[in-house]
Amino acid sequence: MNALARWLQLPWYSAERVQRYFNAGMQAILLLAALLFSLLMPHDSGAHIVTLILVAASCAFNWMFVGARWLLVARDANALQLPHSHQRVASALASMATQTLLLPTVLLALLGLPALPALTLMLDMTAMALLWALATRWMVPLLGFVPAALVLLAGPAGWPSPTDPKFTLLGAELAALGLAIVTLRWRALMRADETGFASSWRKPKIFLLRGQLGMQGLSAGCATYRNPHAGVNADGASKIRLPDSTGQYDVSTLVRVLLGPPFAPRRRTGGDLRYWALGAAALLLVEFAAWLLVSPDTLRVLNAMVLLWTVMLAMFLVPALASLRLFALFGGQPAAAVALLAHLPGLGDPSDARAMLLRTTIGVAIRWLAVAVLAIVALWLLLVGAPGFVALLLVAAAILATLTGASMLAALSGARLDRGSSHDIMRRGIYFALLAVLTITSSVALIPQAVALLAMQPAATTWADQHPWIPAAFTVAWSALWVFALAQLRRHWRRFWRRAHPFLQR
Amino acid sequence: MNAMLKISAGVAPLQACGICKRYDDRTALDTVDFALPEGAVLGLIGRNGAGKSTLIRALMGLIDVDAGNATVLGEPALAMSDAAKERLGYVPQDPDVLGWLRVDEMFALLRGQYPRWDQEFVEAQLARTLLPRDRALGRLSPGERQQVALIRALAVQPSLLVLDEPAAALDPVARRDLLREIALRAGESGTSVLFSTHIVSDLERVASHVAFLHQGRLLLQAPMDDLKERYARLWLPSRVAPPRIVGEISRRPQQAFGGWSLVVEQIDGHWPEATQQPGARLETLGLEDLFVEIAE
Repeated sequence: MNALARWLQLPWYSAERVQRYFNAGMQAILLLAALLFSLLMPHDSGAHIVTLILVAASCAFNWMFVGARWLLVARDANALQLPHSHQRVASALASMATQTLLLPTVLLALLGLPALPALTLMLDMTAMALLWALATRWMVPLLGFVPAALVLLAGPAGWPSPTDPKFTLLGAELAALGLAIVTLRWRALMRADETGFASSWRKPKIFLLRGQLGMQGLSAGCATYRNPHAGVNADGASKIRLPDSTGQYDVSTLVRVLLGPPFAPRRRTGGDLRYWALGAAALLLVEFAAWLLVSPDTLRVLNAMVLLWTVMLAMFLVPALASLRLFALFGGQPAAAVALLAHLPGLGDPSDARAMLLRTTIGVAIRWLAVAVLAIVALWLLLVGAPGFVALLLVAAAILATLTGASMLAALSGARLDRGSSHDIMRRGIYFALLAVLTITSSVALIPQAVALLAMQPAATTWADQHPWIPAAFTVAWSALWVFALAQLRRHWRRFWRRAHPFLQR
Repeated sequence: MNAMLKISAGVAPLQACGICKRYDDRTALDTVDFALPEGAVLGLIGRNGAGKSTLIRALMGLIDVDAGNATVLGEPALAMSDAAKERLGYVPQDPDVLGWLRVDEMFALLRGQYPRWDQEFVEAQLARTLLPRDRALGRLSPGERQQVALIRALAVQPSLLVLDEPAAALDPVARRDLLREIALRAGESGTSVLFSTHIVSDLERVASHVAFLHQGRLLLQAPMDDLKERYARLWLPSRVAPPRIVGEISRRPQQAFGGWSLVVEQIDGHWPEATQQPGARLETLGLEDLFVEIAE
């Protein structure tokens, strides 16, 4: 490996393998969606803002979950008195900035989009991401609403849109301010005593990254199965809810609890409730400000977009995370929970145990999918009302369910999570990414209401209106993906049922 | 090499025939035959990476092997009935299990599944070890987690107890308690125990049988009392040393001596003929010396 390749890889080693792949997948989805938006959306719609927001979100995502971890690396290296650690951290951050800031800027410029305002927007989002990581825990839900608040204030304050070249100066000033705060906070935390905070509520989020954030809690496996904090909140309380303490549980509850999060029934702890209450209060404040500052029509469109994007993201994320958890349990280091399940009396013969395992894993994911799809359909019909999108969504959900089933069966069949299977996990991530991109692209290319919603215009035309062959091309693409998903499901179903019993380790 | 116990099907509570397991290009287990006699406390000893945990997981039916088979309490390890599972206590090497549950919740969750669950034992152990009942398992120290896992395994009143390096994270007091509990269970309840370790003193204190695993091969398995009588170190000058002798377990060059030191075993109650060679010297071996000689 040459020096340049090593330098490019360096920043990503601050996060565990699953987190890296997750970030890579999210980045691929967001950048591909941004590219397709720039190509498919009508150029007079002013919808380039969506492209810029997607690119900036990708950048923020990487700095939140990978870039920010370099503070922990810097602290630990300092504590261990490792030589040249400062240079190494600086080099990693420079590499990260090159990949997440400079490279997208160049690509946007090549696509003919305003590159300098985009760069400043990405810098703003980077500063926000680092502030999020360095902020005290109680501030985190409030920070999540800062971008929305800035967007709302932009109109009345007369601030230029990020697609406007005049945004560059304002964006640069905001970024400079944010990064200055980040630097000061970073320096203070470098010297802070990690154990000296009165409660986790006052602890900076970055210290929770060590054991709880990112994929570690959910995957609790791969290289980090031995993370003992999975399913335990920052105060050390269990998040799993047991129905009672009589010791007489139905077998399905028992299996769900033994599999752990996200399959186990959850207990809402005091910390969780405080967190959600603060988030809800901030949301209501932003909604109130929006009600004062923007027109009712704009507010309705904004709410529709935020709600739809959130639920759609959750629809894709939850099954993916559940699959990762299974990969960690069954394909990583030998997990004691799997051994306990293998030797647990009461699960019946291997066929019964298999059926039980499928119900408690794939069943949970499919139920979640069904709820998410129903929520999206209801929201769409209520706020937008175009049945074409509903049909598209149902096809996408059916394929997502098939891919989720195939992925979870692959995990339950012992597909590896360690070095040999990284490609396997990545390949499965690509399937999900393809589906997400196809869903978004089809929406924009085929459904005028979707374009109008994104462009924030009353009506719009689509790519399909200009090119009659587009619907046929999308039909072929959807059919091919579904056939492929079904083939995957069949393959892993057979592998799963061929195993001697369902709780084999690697 | 030929000191394996003779295996007769259906007798030993835990046994394996010809088990082979490969991971990529590495052989983890190479045609292992193994038997745990009923009521015995068998210490499985070997260096790091020798294959102890893999052998235990194969014996417990937790991994698919490339060849051979294992039985647990007379049933195929990969298809145990509930009756067999109820009589089995197993603690893996890293009992990082159920970190999301509190200590008392974990015991409450499992006790309904085991008809012979001994809640009094659990209560007594929790009181004695001062383990915090209301703390999530994920927040316990590795040693405390190991203690919880041991209590869980012993609470089912197992007929067969399998412990993979159970003392690794325990403090000296807890380790001594564990060894006492193992001896007690074997002596009073007739529990058969297999435990892996590389702490030789633990073996000497509690094991009735010993098995040596080295690079995926079971080099010897014998009752503890037989070891000193059946195995010895043979010093053999180069000029009289044949390339290979019957009963040879291992061989190392000894430049200062000008020959070889070999570990040899008796065949049919007799030492190998090479012990009669001029300059040959036979000396008894302690368990630790025997382990070092074989494993180095």
